[in-house]
Amino acid sequence: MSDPAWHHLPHDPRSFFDLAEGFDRRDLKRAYGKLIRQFKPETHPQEFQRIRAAYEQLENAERYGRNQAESQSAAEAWKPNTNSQPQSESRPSDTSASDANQPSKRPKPPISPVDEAIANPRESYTRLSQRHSRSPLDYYILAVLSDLLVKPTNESEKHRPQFLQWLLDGLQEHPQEHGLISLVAGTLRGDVPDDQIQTLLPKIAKSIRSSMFYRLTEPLWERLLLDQPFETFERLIRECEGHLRQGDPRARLAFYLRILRTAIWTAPSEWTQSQLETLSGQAADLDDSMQNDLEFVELLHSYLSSTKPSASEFPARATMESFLRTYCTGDGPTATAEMARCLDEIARDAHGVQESFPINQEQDDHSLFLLMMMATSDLAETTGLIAPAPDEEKNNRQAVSCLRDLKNTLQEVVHRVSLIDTTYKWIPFAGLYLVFGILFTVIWFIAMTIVNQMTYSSASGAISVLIMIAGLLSFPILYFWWFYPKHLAERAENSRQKYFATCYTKRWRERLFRYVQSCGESPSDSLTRLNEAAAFHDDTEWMNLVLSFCHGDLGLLIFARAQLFVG
Amino acid sequence: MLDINPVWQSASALQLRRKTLRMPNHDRRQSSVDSDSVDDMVAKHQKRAKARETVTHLQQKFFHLSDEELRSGLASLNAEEVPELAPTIRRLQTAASERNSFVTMLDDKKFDRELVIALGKSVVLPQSDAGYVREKYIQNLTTKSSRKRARETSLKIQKAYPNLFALERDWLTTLQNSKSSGPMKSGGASLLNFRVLFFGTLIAYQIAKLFLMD
Repeated sequence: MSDPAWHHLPHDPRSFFDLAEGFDRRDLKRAYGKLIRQFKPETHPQEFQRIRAAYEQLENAERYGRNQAESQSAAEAWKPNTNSQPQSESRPSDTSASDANQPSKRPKPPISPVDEAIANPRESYTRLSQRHSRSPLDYYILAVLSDLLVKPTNESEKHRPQFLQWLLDGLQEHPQEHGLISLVAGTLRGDVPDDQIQTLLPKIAKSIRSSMFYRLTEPLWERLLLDQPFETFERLIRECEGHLRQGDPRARLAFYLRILRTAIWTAPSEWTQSQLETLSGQAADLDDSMQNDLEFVELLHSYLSSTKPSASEFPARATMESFLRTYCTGDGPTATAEMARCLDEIARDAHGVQESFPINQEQDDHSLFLLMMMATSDLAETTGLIAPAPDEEKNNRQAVSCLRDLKNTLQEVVHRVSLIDTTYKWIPFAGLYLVFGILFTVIWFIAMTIVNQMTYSSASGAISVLIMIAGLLSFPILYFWWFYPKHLAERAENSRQKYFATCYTKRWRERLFRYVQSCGESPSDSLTRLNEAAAFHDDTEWMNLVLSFCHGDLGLLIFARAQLFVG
Repeated sequence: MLDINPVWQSASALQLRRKTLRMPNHDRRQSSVDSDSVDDMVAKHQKRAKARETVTHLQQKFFHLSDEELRSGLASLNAEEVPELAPTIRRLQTAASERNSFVTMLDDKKFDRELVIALGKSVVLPQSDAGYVREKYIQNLTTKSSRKRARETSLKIQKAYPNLFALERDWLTTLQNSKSSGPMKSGGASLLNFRVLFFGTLIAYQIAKLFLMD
């Protein structure tokens, strides 16, 4: 595997991930997953850290539609510029005096605002705070110096609001400035205590009235949703949106798409439904991966709104729900541990999963199945939380063993299928033929008697025999060409399918669960392995029947997927 | 902090600020990248690597280690540091607390020795290896008496060692069902039943005839 282009970091993460111009988040996730498999955190912690930072930077930017070229030029704005305004402005009298005293010496290189702030913090703070127009760097210096110079009050000992205030002021003056955006986003993400979120959000909305508000405050809303009743969230978002100007609709869509993953667990179904309708109405503005996110939330809503069996009845189903909830609302090591616990529990509870997903049930579990597949795929891609590759040889032995076990039931299955054929084909045939034969013979006999009384000739005798033969032959033709296909074939097929389903549930299913558990690989891999083993032993035809049930058994597929995450 | 360019390194700047001002990080969804310094990260990942190694070592040598070695190995594992291994660590801890139970079971003739050995392997090995061990045991249950013995042992484990039973509830429950345990049987059973019925009827008829003749 070739080395990644480290020289592109941190300024050009897109080139680092080797992504094409129009990449989407799925491409990014794929590229990221590929790299973290090469640079595992255990073995390459520093490389992992840089890759993760670049991924988070691009992921966030991609969701809110940031222009990469803009940030490139924005970075230039922060480079120390010795000819910039602060230097030209700084103490002209000193400069002239110095020139007068030492005319022969080379002029002293002007010091940067940063150096000046370090040398004379108080003076720099006063001077910069008195200016009417400031550069992004000025705001940054003011924010940093405010920590040093503005004494916090007792209650805000651990929270220094002036720092954030300067950055927000900076953003008001330079709304698209990437350095300030990153700083405000980071501060709001990590430095706002829980008890200040509710008072801070409306203030930010008044300060930043553009759609940037959504991007910056997203983590605060998520925390609010986790800690406070949904009504508080609803009231606050309405209040804040009242302060915002109409802006880029994409930012609002991206915000609601992310927030819905957390809100959906506590929000009334009607609220979620109305948000989803709004999102679907603007689906044309969504890129592929946002469409994917929307699909996930729609499935989740459909699952949560459906009538579900009680958790106490099916603990495995409750574990799956708990996994999905953690996947949607949590992050970091605690959430990873909880998700690992849930998957471990699912992977070790074959009976529980079988009971939770009965075959031929009325309930549609496709939404739960798809949600589990999407969430586990994402988990594997973004955390690398996946068990090591299984032993091929061992799994091949497992496939042959499973095949042998399944094949042992074949004789009984064939016997039963022929019994079904007999029941639906030959017994009705025999019965109907008997009835028809009796009726036909009686009618023929009466007809012949009447004909003989009226007229008798040797030709009529021969004709009567021919009619008899034709009548008796016509019945089987009529039965197999018309009656059986029209009235009985479908019933026979239904009965066969019903028997196969019973066979799968009672005999094959448990063995297949044990098989996928002992393989520890993806559902498609383990089933393909079984199919290959069957093809090798010339058992493809009936194995296709078994596999058709396997592919429809959502419990088995989820169970097999969970095996991938158990160490 | 002022030397840092916030366009690319805002996280580092804010992290430095928190460290300097001793402010907590309120971000619950933080990635480990933003939460610690590079040194902390390195230390943390080294711990994770070490924990993985220890888990693998314990899984492979579980029954060969002395009590002291096992105790110290488990004590060195902190599930919070390796969240993805937390369930495995908990499992090993439970198995360690019950390790002497395996010796007791092996000494007791009432327990199926093969089942106890398979259970010992199954509770400590990684999932797919454990699955292989379990399946191998099931495939060896070819006779009715072996299935009966497995069933009885499973019931005894459930009663006497509930913690161990909880670790392998699924498999041990399977063994309690004589019909589903053991390799799957061919369909000859129904045919056999037919033969038994047929010949049974014939013999009964002959006996009845003898009595009637008398």
